[in-house]
Amino acid sequence: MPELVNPPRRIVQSGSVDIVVQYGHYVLEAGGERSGADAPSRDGLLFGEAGWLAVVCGSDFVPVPCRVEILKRMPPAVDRRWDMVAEHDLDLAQGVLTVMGSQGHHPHLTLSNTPGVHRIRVHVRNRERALHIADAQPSVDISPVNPEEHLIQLWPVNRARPAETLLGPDSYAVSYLSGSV
Amino acid sequence: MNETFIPTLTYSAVANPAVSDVAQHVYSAQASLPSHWGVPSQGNWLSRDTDLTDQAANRMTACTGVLPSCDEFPLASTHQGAAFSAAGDWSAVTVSASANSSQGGITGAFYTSNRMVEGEKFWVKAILANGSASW
Repeated sequence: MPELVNPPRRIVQSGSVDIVVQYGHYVLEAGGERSGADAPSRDGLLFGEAGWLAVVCGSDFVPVPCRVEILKRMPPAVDRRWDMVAEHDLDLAQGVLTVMGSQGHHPHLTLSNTPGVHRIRVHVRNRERALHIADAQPSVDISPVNPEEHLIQLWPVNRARPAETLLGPDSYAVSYLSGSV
Repeated sequence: MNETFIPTLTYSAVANPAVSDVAQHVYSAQASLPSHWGVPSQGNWLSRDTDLTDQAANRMTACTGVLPSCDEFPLASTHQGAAFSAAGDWSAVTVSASANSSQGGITGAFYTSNRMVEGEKFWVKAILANGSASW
């Protein structure tokens, strides 16, 4: 079950959950229609449309520990302890963000904030290690130890900005974009 | 949903080049597997399976040793996946991670836009880059 925590002052709401990954990604759903003609990820980490965003994982089908934080404003600095950090806009039209598997039907965590465009900052580490460990341990209980970790932060913004890689790419993104994984 | 209407999930390398590897796999599997899964003229539809344990069992059966990124047909998210079909009536191949994530995105969009719930039926069509369709 997702763990919702009582946040410190700069955090509006937060939660932690092991996300069930399907087809190597999960989805941040903000109420937008999915066209079904997915553009491939350009940075090896994120792809999506105005109302949803997919996060590419090293794990193909193994749950990934993830923490999600809605912030009052942009963090003062990029946390460089992660392997890769990238940003993307997402329109929370109804003020609700749902973290879910890519195939629907499995919402894991739902957070809320004021409706409108938010900036999403996605932090990942150990995707390359997860790729090999997960594939070596397929299991019905889908619970092998996963070294991969994700942190997602978002905050409201007044104007749209292009997607941006702030740290990295990590080795998994390089392999993903070259087609070697 | 209209019970007489069975929707079609399409993997088109024309509309979405990123899914080319998957389209090729589905195209070949539909032609060669005994049940010709997802082809209307053969009558063997797929049906949505929302149970994560079933999906994991399908993945484990089909994808053990298929590294690093596995594509299985019938889909792991169906009751016709490898754990529930006869040996020799399913297929698994290695595809690129980007093709796999593109396939997952297309499939997820299909399930959500058609509001596919547990047990609902659908057909599958593959279109290759040269325009050839599996049916």
